[in-house]
Amino acid sequence: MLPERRDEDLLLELHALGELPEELAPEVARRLEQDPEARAYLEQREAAQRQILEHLPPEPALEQIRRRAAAERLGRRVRVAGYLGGALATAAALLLVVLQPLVGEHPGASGRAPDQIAIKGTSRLQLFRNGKGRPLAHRATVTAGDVLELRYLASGQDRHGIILSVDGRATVSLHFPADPGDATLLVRDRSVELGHAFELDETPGFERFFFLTGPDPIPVRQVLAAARALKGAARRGRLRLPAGVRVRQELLLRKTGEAPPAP
Amino acid sequence: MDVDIDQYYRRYGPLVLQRCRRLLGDDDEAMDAMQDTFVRLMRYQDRLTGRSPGALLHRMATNVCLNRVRASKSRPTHPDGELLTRIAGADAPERTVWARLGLQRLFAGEPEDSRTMAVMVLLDGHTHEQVAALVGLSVSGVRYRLRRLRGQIRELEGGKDAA
Repeated sequence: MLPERRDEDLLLELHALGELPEELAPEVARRLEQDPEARAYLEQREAAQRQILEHLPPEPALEQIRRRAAAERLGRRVRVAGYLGGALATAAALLLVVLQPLVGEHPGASGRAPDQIAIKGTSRLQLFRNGKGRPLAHRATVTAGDVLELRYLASGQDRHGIILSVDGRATVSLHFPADPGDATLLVRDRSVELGHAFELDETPGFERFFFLTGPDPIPVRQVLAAARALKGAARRGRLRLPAGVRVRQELLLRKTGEAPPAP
Repeated sequence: MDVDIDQYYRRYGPLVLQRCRRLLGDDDEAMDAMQDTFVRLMRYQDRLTGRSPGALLHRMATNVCLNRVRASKSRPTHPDGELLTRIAGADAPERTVWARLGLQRLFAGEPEDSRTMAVMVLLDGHTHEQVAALVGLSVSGVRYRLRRLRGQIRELEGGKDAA
């Protein structure tokens, strides 16, 4: 049994640790002067700390933490897409890599507008799990907590671009540019790694990435509005894009723990 | 910077555990969340700036707990469980990668997840000014980010005021 729970007081904790932000120091000092309970909190704090560490000795806990961190580094949480087995799965994965821009998650090519079909060329989006290995294939299986590194390559007429994703709750995340108010100009003719990674949260279902490009600056807010408008059709729906903007690439990642389809 | 995980655990472990117990209610869950917090600390240690690790770990623990509550089908049984569940389930209308990825942002000195700040204001009772100082944002920045949770947060705040 752990020691009895007591209400935490972050400001007093930081004061005791010597880490209280300067601007909060006067009010905490005032409180300590005027409030006997605050003084009692600090007096009892050390004993409470000791009690907790006695009940949760650092060595076994640290061992467990290190094991979990090592497992994470080795990618044990990563699962390979399992809807096909063995060599067939490998062959299918290769086919998906090659054909992904054309097959996607859509009911069929005939159901898609021409501007939704990725065009041949070298412009592309690549997602790397934990920043290493091969790029994730369309429909690859991922897990909450996986950290994705995003890279793009732009060439030809693709001078401007947006990278965004929509998840199973139809929540839209903007990956490039970093802010809707920023320019959409792409660096061209070389692989560009976005300056940050993206950690998948526990939202179930999927994360669908779009790499949208065009020859001219792209109205980011308008595109975000189009993505938000997908709502219930976030998995398969078509983006209504401004003129001149096209979907260069789509990548759908499936989250583990996904609920089975309704009968 | 590299983190001496032993030292961090001894110095900040009780604070992190208290935070997880406060939010999750269940001791076993809280201990697991505490470990998860330190695993994440190890994951991102090369991005740590060394500024106020206590406040950082407190927010990391909050973030871990929010994700657990969001993923869980059952809500924490403590009196604030319902409020916490609603905050955990709240979505910003559009989250940039930074608004979504709590932890790397914390290490990079970027502003905090709106949900975490909502917990600090609505559950912990911190003022906007205190939150601003703790997360390194301006007061208006805190207000802006909380507003980004749109009606969901307004509804929560209204409910709290009415209570």
